[in-house]
Amino acid sequence: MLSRSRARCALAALVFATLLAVAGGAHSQAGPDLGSADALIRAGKAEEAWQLLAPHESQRAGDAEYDYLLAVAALESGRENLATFILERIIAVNADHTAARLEMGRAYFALRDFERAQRQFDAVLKTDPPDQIRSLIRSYQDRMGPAATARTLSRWGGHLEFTLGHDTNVNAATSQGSVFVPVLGSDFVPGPLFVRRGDDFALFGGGLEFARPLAGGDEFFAGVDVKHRVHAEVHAFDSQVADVHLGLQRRLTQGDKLRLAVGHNEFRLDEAGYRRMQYAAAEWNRVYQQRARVALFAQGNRIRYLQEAFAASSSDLLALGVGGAYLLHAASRSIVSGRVYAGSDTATRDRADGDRRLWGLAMALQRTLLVGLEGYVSFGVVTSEFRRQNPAFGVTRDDRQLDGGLGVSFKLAEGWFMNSQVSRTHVRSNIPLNEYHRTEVTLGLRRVWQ
Amino acid sequence: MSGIRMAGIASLLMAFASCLQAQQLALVTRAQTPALAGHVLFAVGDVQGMTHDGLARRLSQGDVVREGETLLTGPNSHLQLRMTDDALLALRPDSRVRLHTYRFVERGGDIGRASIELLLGGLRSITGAIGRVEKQNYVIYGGKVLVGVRGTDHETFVVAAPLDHPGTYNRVTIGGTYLESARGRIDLDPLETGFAALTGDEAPRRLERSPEFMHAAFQHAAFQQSAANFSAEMREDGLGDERRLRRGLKLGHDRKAALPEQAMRPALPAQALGENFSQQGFGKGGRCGGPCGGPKTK
Repeated sequence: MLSRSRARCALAALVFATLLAVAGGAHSQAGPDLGSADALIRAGKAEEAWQLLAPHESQRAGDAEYDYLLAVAALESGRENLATFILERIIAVNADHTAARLEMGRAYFALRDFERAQRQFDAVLKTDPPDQIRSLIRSYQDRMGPAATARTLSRWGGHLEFTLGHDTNVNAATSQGSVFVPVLGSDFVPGPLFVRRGDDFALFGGGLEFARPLAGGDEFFAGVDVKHRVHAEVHAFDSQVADVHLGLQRRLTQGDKLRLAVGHNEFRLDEAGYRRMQYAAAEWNRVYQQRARVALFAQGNRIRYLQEAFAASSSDLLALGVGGAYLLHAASRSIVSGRVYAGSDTATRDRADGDRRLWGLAMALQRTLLVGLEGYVSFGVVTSEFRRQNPAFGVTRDDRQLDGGLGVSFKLAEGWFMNSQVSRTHVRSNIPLNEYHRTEVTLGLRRVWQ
Repeated sequence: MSGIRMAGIASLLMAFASCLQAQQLALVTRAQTPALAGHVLFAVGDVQGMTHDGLARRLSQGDVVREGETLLTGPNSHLQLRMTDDALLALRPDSRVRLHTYRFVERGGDIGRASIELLLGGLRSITGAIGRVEKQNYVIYGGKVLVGVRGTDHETFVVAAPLDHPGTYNRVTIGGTYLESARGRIDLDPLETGFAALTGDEAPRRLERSPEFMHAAFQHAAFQQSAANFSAEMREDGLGDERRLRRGLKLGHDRKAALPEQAMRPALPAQALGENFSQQGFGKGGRCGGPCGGPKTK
């Protein structure tokens, strides 16, 4: 009984296998028409060629003619790494297949794997190819050569912005109508320019950044920024700022970088030079798995007020700090960042409050809210302890400044952004003349080139 | 007539199906056949598969490979596999790879897992569904390290003597991988090569450039098959050349998952400069005005 059953099974299997073989043969005969695929590729319809050829790869892989067309279809339809995988089959069997090597070079170039692309192009050039091919390869090599690499890796960026806003206290003046001055024994009534004034303003700005890699993984960078702010009414506080900086970034190890920068900053107020500043900064930072960055930094500022009336505020400031940023959530680009620092500000022109010690903290959280819409919230506090008793007020000045900000940036189109921000500054001081608060609301359009 | 033939075929198929069912039932009582891992896409030269019980066989196009199998390539020999999850593997010459686990579940909660050990030589891997959906489930062991994927296309080599630095080398083409050993872990981005010594006494590290042997497999005339007489004309027109050359000027690779370079640098904020400074350049007395210290959104 069992043997009869086995015999029936064997017979059925034999018939079934025969049917499959017949079907398979028919299928094979109806395989891809390589001529049609070639025509599609030549007509620029690489995707259609890929769709025609790819389903047959399991049966036809290793057939050099098929593989070549499949690889070209893959390359021209944007599947560059699959193209290299397929071309490996051809070259494994026929290392002198120059057409395959040329395609391999093209594919590696598309993958930015210039090292491997160069090897393939070199192999083709050794076969003394026709002039057209030689010229084509030269075009690729021009983009990959040392000079071209530097050109490729050099980066230019810039921006232009136009912002409208309202500032509740354009002159950062105390909100008190008068301040008692002990040494006078009476109230001091600030002049009109030192009384709190709110005003609308327009801001025009622009900037340019350049970075160029140097040998050994170093990078030179430089930039310039200018801003011009015009008020609707209080023109005495119209201002212009120009900032120029340059520096060097050195890659110490894969994750460690040292960034050195120097800069010059000019600030004009009411159509006259007001303050000039030079600064130098050093920052070491380490990146952990592309998610976190920690940094130590030091910064020195030479700050000079240009008008004699304000020259006493001139100082030399040195600060040290530690900061970092962490990518909380990659999909939403949620990043938290912060820094703490401490510094010493040495008065150089006999400032009434003397030298200053300061420490501060700043935190920010930014994330993508919707497609094209980023938001952030920031907070900062700075405490300043002056070292000399103010002769007018008879106290040693202590200030605490709190800043908060809330902003969004909406991407209107490639390179175009609409930014809006609300910021609030609150300064507390044991000398009432130095206390103030201000709120600023802005709406701006920014064009960015990268 | 045609109807009779169809009925005959149908009855034969039914008989065959019932036989298969019976055979399947019988198989349940026997030792389970290792799970299907993939098929041979391309094999040239001396290419073998060795089952977990030591039986060796020559591999050729269309052959199946199963979990637990060890794959071997001889000198000048190449093997390409398409795995069940559509991953692609390519063994370089003189290589030995063991498929410890390769289970792809098309439906259900668990996509499956792949655990591949590169015992010697080179292995290129383009991840399929397992690596795309559950990256942590797709791992390659080589030497003393684990190579995990963060992307799609990479190449791993395990080399011993006579190299000065025997160990595991991993080079990324697309996406990213990481090299992890008891001493530490490094993440690798496209075109980066990582290295971990076979001695295992130091943490994995990046190399300035990939060693020469990683390019050798297709550099020279390694294998010349007499039947390989097809040679296409080199494409002069290069339909995509202009596009590629133009795109070649653009920088870098997709690092969307990485911390952006411009994320709030820890420089001294404007507030710290007190009455001597105004970042935005307004405010009599130099007090900070405007968005001092906030992160650059754009």
